Amino acid sequence: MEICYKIDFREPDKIEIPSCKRIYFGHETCEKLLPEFNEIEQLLELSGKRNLELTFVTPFLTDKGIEKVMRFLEELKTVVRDFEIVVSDWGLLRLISSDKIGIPVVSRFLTGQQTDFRLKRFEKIPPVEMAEHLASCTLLKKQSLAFLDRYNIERFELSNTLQTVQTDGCEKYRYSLHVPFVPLSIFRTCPENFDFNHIRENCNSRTCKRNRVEWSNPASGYKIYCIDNALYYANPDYETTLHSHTYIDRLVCDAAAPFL
Amino acid sequence: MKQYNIVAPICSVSEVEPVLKAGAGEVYFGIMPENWIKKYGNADFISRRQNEKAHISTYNDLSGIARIANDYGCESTLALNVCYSENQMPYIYEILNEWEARGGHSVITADMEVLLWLDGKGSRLKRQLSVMTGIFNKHSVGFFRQFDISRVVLPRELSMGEIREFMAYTNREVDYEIIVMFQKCEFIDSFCRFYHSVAEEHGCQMTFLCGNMKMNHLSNNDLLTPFCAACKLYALRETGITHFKIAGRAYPPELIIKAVGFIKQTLDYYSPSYADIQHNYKSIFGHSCRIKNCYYR
Repeated sequence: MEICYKIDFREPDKIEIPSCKRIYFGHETCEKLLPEFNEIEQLLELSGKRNLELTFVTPFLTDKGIEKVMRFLEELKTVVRDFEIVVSDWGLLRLISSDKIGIPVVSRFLTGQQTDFRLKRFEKIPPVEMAEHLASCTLLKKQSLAFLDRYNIERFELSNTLQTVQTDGCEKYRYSLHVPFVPLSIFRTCPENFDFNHIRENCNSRTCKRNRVEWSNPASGYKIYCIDNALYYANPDYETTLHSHTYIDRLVCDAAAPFL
Repeated sequence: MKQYNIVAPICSVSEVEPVLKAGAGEVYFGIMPENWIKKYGNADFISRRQNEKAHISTYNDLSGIARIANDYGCESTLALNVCYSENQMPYIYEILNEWEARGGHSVITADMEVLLWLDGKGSRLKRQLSVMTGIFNKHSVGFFRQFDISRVVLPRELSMGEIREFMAYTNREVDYEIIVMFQKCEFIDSFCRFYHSVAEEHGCQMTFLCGNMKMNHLSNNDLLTPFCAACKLYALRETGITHFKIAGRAYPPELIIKAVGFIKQTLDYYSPSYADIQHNYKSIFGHSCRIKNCYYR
């Protein structure tokens, strides 16, 4: 099992990560929080020193965001030969494929997992078809996968949902499991700008500190984490998922929230 | 500017004629058959709307909707606008076959498998990409052009600046649609994984505690002062958007009819002032509009 750590370029002091072969960097929910190339100097240094592989994580992208990512990738490929790009946007997948940049990986926002923490109860409630649906990934279907083969997809990212996850019939691919945070939803804008009138494009993300706030939902008793512009819950029990899923060969952990 | 079309929701055959008479040029709706409910319940697993009341339930209803829309020279669109698991696909294919056989015009989808299947069988159904697909840039339109799509529904999270930029450079061989009334949410449609059922709160309706702070109903009930983009309609048309969608499937039919009339009046009136629009809003919905209920600022 490959253990990887996800790091945040805004927290250079947290860059001292445990032993691993790969680091994930970038941002999965906000294009404004993607690094500029000159902001990953320390990361590149670390990667070179420790011979670490790199995976660049990207969120959904507006036209401005996609231009920024492509500029970044053009620079990255001049200093790193092989790297993965986690895509949450079909347009980016098309672009990196036609420009032959990086190794594409499908993000956990596109694989189509149901992630609400309340869904676990359906494991024990008939009919069985409901539980099967809730443990499935809606992108992982025969014709869609055959179509995506033209983009050289070999890896899909998964969340460690409470109801576990199945990828039956899709054994030719490899899977990464993100622990402990499971995404529930992405806000239009950061909660600090919680206001329908806030215009997302006016966010000044360069002053935006990494923001992980613990929320709770009294009715469910679950802890919820608001991380930047998205809501997550935590499920650190990855062993149950690994037990039922033999094709997961990578754990992606958050360097700022170690639990292993 | 190109001809516009108002796209209105319906939940039964009897609602088709009134919304078309009110000025809609197209209706859209979902279907939740009994055999689906037995397996998957009445949450939003067949279309992005929970509750059988927000859907028709029989194939005969499909025939009724297509026939009335045809009589009015309008389009009718079936919303199968979420993504499905492999085991659900036979149900979806059966519905699509019935819809096409009974004279349906279009389908709203977010599922690549549905698009591939329609292509494979040479279906004549027009394909609209749902807001659930999350098309935020022109390259994503290019990606889905491979599936012969005819229309893209833009995410309702975009700002006016982002919409202008998107529309300035995007592919003009497809039509673009945008939601202009009801149901704006803090969460982004295409990335919201909360369970939407009838009996439980949606994620945006839950109470959250953050320290001593209580966060209640992040999204607002908008039956009294509907979310609305009327003040932006002229600017949206100028970008090249041609289809204006009323959200709110299962909202009271009389409210939907009012909304269709309001949007039509605003679109037909050449560049009305904000004061005119706000006055009209109040006279139609009975309450003054509120800035927090504005779409696309």
